[in-house]
Amino acid sequence: MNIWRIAASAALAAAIVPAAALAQTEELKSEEMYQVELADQMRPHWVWVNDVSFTRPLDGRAYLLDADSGQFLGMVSGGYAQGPLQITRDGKRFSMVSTYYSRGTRGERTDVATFYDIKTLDQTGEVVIPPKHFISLPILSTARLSDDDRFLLVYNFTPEQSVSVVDVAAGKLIGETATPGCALVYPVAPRRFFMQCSDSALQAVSISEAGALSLDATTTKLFSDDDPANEKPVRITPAEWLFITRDSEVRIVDGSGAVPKVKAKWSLLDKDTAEWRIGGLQPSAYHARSGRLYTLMHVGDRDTHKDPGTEVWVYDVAAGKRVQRIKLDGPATALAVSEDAEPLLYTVMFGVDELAVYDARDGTKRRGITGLGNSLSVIQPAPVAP
Amino acid sequence: MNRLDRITEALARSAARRLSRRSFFGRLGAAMTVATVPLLPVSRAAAERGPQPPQPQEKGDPANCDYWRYCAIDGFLCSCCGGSMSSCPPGTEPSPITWVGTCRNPVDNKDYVISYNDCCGKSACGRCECNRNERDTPVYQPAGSNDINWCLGTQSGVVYNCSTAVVLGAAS
Repeated sequence: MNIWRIAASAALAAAIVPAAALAQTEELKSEEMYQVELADQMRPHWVWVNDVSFTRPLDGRAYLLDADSGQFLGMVSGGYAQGPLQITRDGKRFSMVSTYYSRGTRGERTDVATFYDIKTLDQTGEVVIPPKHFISLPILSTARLSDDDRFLLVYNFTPEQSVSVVDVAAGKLIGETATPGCALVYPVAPRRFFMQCSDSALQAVSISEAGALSLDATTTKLFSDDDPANEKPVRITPAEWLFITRDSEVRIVDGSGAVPKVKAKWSLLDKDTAEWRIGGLQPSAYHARSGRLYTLMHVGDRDTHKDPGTEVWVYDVAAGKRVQRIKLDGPATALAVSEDAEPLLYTVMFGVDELAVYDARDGTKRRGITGLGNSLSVIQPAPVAP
Repeated sequence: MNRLDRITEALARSAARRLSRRSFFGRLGAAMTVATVPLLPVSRAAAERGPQPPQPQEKGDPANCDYWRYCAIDGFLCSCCGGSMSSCPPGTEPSPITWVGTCRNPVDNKDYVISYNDCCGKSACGRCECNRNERDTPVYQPAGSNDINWCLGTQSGVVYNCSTAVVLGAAS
């Protein structure tokens, strides 16, 4: 018996023993593939995270995550420079506005509003819109649904400014209205919104039942040129938006009347915190059930308004008073808060591939969900179920 | 219409200083001149045109985010992408309209108006990302906002490659 035969016998014996031990287990069955389907409505701790793919912007995307389990549920691809989603109030459907070129980086430009359902994350329809929608780092108010989800309102910039209106139910473009000098869309009622204008005034706009826009009253200048309001306010009631200026001054604008009005003014800072400042791409969030405002704060001068926050400061909006400081595990450029009764605080840092999940009440970090790409911009939690 | 006038004026003024009709006709004229003069091999070789360097009296490294002209820039530095702080990489198109900033030149301690033209038509260069926000304005005040994709005015379309920082002149 030569050495090879001995080795072969030993190998055979080794192979037989485990096979004998496993002989009782059932043989694997053949499988059928299928596509996963989700619940038909966003659960309270489901959250979308936008990855604008800044270094490869033709490949914009948004990820749907379950913050309770840390599970990656699915994603959508939005073409060039992925913008935010427009999620319906019931959390069952959403749309996004995308730009595509016929030859990838060149050729004919097509802008399209694409509609999806949460259950399948598959397209349910699309409407081609004028190829001029505003493209920037993602800002939530560049396109908004009307409060009854009937119309999609898309801000355009060429640099001529206008708003396109899509009838969501009918699946068709209604038209485009020039909005000279004014930008972005802030709904205040099912058929009304206001826009922010370059002279720091607000322009009221109404929507007819047929979806036609008419420019109504314009306010006087509401903010000073050297301390402008940011374009990332939070909506605190159906008709009220809370703006924060560069110097961390709060202005609550009430849009319920014919002319929007500043209803309350207070500061995020006091004499002991004068060196602090709000900053980031999505620097504030509001939790309606508790009346709490969450802000991303850092130490810095006026030109650091996009710098990441190192802490989250929590305010009682009705009292205009800070009630809590949360030290973050790492710096963050965006934050959001789930809208349910057991709120989670979400943060991302542009350039870092993680969604950080904190308990919004005590500020402890629950988990990090990693591997999400390097350009995480805005966070969109589930809306409150009606 | 006042607001529109103001925006249009700011944008038009900055556009006119760079890619004006004059520069278009200048290019057209140059092309016509070339067409009528027989090209010698030597003149073809001389047609190579390198990135425009900083001016001799400047200090600093245009491939570094700390370079003085970048005080309100947001994006990838063309200096790291085949261009320079005042020229676009090969095959990319300068945006005719853009945002402007005011930066202090540390050498003469004077403020200069800087135009942050995007170079467009190829996907993001991805190198030397730089974001500084001195006097940056919100996007509803577009003439000073660095968050906007300014490739929108080009023939190439909105696909952004990198950012430049061109001296328009001393700020008065």
